[in-house]
Amino acid sequence: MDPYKVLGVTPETSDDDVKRAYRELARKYHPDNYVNNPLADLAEARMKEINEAYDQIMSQRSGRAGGASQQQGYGGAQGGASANPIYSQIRAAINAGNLAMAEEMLQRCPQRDAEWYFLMGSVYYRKGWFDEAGRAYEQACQMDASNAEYRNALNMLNMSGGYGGYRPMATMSACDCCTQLMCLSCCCNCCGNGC
Amino acid sequence: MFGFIRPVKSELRVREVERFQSVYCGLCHAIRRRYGRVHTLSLSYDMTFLTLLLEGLQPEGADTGRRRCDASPVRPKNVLCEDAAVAFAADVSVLLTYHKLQDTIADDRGLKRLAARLLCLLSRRGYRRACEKQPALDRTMAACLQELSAVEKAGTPSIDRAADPFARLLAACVPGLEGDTGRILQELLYHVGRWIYLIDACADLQDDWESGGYNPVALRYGLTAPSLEPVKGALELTLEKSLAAIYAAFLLLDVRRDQEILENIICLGLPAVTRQVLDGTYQSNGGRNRHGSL
Repeated sequence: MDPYKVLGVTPETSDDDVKRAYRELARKYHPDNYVNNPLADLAEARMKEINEAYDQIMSQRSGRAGGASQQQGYGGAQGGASANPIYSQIRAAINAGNLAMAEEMLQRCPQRDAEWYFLMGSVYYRKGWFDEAGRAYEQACQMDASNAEYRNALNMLNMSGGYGGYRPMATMSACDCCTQLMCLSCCCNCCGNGC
Repeated sequence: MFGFIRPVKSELRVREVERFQSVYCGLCHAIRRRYGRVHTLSLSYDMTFLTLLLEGLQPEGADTGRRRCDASPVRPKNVLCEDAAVAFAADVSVLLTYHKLQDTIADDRGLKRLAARLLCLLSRRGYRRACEKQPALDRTMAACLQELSAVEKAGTPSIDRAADPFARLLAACVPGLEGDTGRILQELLYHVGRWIYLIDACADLQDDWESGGYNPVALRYGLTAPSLEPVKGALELTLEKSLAAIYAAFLLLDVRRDQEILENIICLGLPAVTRQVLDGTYQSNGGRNRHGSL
């Protein structure tokens, strides 16, 4: 595919403008905007295409082999590991996008511990049931206050900013901005661990 | 329940306003040609949004012609010609309106119910024709609305559970699109449906409170007075999440035209309506008798 078309620029566009176009697109399709989103795989493919196009253009222009773009890894949305084998299966089902199966397995679980509520919250989140997800995450945090995974999930949900810069409702204050950056870096750390 | 999805006109270019109006008129003409004059009552901004969205995915855009109509009998207006996308949106409009009327007959009392009965009677023939064209969609709509009425009768105290049937109903309004595009559209429309249902529940809080009707927002937060003030923050967050999901899905669609108008609706129009409804400043006619012409 034509790399210029992918970035929406022409061969005559200056390096700076190509970089700007790349950054703009990378901001839109950044993995952080698609955490726990059922369309994350498509966003990932798009991001890869954009990175490759940018690398190709830059290497063509400078005559050297690529590697100029910032490669962003998509960490698995469900980072943590479970001691309970059933929960591991449920995590696998959620990661594979099989929400109906994950929900059914959860319903059949006899115990309702913190991890159960966390996983249920993750299923709700993927379904787009954000309010129910928040309630389940809160319950998980209450039952196990020391767990960073649950805390991060709840913070992520309650953070209204950071979604591709799409903040339709609020005007951001300087203070807000800092808290969000802090939260964001927390979340990124957590995602990096992978499964 | 209709009319929440609209662009912010002051942020549109002149040609974009004209384009929006030609799509609005195009949908109206398509409904009238396919189903008859009565059904043009089912025309709405929401369905204009659907038309724009589907039209943007067509490989070849439809032409624009000039035509007169009941609302503008003398001066012809620019009208988007009927193609597959417009025709599908027309079918959806007619089906959705008919089912909504049925819903009103089942749930409401008095004058409203009588009016719904009358309109149902008048639009029955058109509805049957729409059923023949979109039988699967008609079945899904009926099933989803039945679920919705069960959820309402049970007094479910969850906004997500209450919104789910209507969200799935809207997610079903996708013409047989292949592969990823269909998936993206379903996700997008699911959240449009969730947002519409919840914003409608917020706007109706006062009425439901007085009539004692089911209101998921009041039950979820255990409100003790018909005011959104104490739960505004929580509602804003959950609605904003759906808006972000709509935009995230929209970015993945390969929209060939009208990108700016659609972005205006998603990024400016929907948040503006959300703010207005939560503040209690929303007017269904867009203020100052402006309904129908943006």
